[in-house]
Amino acid sequence: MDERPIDLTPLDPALDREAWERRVAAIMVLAAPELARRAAAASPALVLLGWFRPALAAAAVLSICAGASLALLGGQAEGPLEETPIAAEALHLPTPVGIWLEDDQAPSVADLALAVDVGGGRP
Amino acid sequence: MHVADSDARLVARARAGEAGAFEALVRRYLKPAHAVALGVLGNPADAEDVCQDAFLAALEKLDECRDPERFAAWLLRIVRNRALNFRERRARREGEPLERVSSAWMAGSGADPAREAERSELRGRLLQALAVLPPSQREVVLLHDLEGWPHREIGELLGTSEGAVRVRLLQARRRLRGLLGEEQEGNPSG
Repeated sequence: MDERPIDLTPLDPALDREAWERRVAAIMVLAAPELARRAAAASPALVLLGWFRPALAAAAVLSICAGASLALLGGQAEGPLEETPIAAEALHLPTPVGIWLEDDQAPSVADLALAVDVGGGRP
Repeated sequence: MHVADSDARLVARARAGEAGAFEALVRRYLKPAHAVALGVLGNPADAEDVCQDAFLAALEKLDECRDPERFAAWLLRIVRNRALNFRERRARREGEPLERVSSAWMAGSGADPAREAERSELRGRLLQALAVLPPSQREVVLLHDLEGWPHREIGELLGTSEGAVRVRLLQARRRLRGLLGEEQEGNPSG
């Protein structure tokens, strides 16, 4: 078995430095348009624009969906809104009691007397 | 200490159009690419054309390189496929022998005429000897003995086993030594 390598260095294309540099330069000249195209495509403004486009498209889709939802639900939303009763009214407490609760104050004796009067007149 | 950029980093920068990064890749892999193309074509001038074409194709398809850390293997597959297509087209078009040594390539730069003549003669003898080998042996011996690639990586590139690479390498060396005569016997360092 022959394990010794053959000396092929005379075939090394980089032996002639000038010719080697010319070959590299020739490839770079021919590659210049593609490199320029890639550099332009990778510029920050274009990258931002690339991100901005899908964001715009998403916003447009959301707007359309929102508009469609409003149009479908519009009839139901147009009726008069019922007033939401406050807790004291919902529990049918006399009005003075509701005021104490709202004001978060302890009633005085006079207030209690008034409440008894008002509560008594409640329907 | 300067640490060379990894292939993955250079590929990422080249993808963004950085000429310096692409040039670094060209300088790093033009020699192995040349060895692969020369192995397939047997003709240095054609190998140069194929390498140039392959590097440009690789740049255009750089986004398809899914594992940039293995850029070399990906690039050399492009080189090899293009060289095989080139050889097929050349044989079909011109009916010329597959191996044709370019006198222009062999002439070199001519900076030192005496030395250049000697180098040119040696280069010519090597190319003629390589032309006798089947491409499968030529590819292996060029990648291993000229470029120093390990058997395993050559096998991956050629789609064959490490053992088959070893066998082809030994066959190629034996054949070349026979063709080149004594001069390689006296130069085991290469």
